[in-house]
Amino acid sequence: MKDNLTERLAAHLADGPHHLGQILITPISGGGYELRHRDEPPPFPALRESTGPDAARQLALYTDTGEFRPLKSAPTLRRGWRLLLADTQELHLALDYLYPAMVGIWRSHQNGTLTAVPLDQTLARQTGMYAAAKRIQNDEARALIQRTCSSAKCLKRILWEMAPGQPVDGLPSGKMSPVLDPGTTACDEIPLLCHEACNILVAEARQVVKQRERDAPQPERQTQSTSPES
Amino acid sequence: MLSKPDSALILVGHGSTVNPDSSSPTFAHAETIRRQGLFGEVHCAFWKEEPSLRQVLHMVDCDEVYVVPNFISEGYFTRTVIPRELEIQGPVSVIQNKTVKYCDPVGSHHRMTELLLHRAAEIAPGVPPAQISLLIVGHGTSLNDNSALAAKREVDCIRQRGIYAEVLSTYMEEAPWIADWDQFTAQPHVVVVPFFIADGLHSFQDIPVLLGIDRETGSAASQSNVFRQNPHHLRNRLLYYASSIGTEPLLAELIVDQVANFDAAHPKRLSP
Ligand code: SF4
Repeated sequence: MKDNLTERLAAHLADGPHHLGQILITPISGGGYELRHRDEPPPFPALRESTGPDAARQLALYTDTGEFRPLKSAPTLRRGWRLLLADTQELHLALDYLYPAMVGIWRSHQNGTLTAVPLDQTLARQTGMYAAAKRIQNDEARALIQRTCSSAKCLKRILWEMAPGQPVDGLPSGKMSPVLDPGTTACDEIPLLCHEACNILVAEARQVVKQRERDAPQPERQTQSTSPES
Repeated sequence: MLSKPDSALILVGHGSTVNPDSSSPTFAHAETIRRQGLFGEVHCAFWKEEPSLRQVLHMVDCDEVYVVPNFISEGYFTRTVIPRELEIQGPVSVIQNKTVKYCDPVGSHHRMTELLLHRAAEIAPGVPPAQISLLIVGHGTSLNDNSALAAKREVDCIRQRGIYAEVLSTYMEEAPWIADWDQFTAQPHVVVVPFFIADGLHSFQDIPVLLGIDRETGSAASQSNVFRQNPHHLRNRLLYYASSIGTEPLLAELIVDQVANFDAAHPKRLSP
């Protein structure tokens, strides 16, 4: 093990509170960490306290109104809790439940080993029922990205392009940059990075294509397998 | 006992964007294996949830990674989707400077039979097996996988042991139809075990309706009572309905064992 991610996380967090998505991570004097929602209004003692990484998975599962959160970077993390974690090991696991893979992807980005994959390549790779997604047109893709990836839906910063040399346009510059503008938040931040379009975007792209093709039926076309993959 | 402190295990599940119970067994088995301390690291990855198959390798520290599909059978996902998304080229691949070893899915482990027997015995305690018709229910007519074949294979193995009066495979979408369960079973007690990896829509909504337990589809499995009201008095029989075989805690042992099986089948000198 050359590069221990848990140790790197601990070293990074040693100098004080940090944000990761909607979470505030605070080291506790004497050891351990406290997590809570970053926009939690005081008084903090009113927060429901839990301990251990398993509780993090439960906290990440549903919104305040009880809806399932398949995309953990959606800005819908529930409030009203504080989570106590005994050590960096527990913290790392809890963060992996709350924001899956984001600590590891942050490391790869820092190491210069994170390769962004253009959207056209992600779509071209799809098979089965998702093969239809590769027939999305540029203007459709642009509108779809604005709908699906905007900060109202997802807090990740997009690193990929539409196609090589063709950046995503129509989203605020902050959404497209891997780092925050200095001074925009009170404390340091581990960024949420999107280096490749997620399955939700791919599934939506398929819907857009299917809808268009239903509305304006095309002449005979070779379609790939219509297996009931979901 | 297997010990791989310098290797990571990635357990791959399907996941779902609508059903929170789909990924729970995968997370639960991963946590069990993590607590056993057999691997340097244990991670989950999903097709429809996060971490995704495209993200998960960035989480890994170890140079050697075993990937075990938490799937009920070989099929479209294990042969096409997982290899494509992880960029796996064969049993052993080098990806992002890591040696990635691709194991067989947990469902093809020969001890699945034992797990099905365990679950069947647990769901109907004290009932003599000679008075039980055991039904293993799969999806059927799916182009995605060979789960119907796998269910038939399991039924054959259980039948050979001669424990139960009757053992049959039955399906949601092909004959023998699960909805007709009382017509092709003869015993007063009928035990139904869904041959699925998670308590998805099929096991907690569709099958209970087909069996006649529920009139209409209800809430998520984690909030449903369907598994807690056994036996159900239906069609002049006593029906016992189990949760999906993939939720069986013993499955964690089989996942670990797929890694040992991989090593046995691919001696080190064959690695690139
Ligand atoms: S593609 Fe990336 S930015 Fe867009 S919704 Fe998915 S994870 Fe968020």
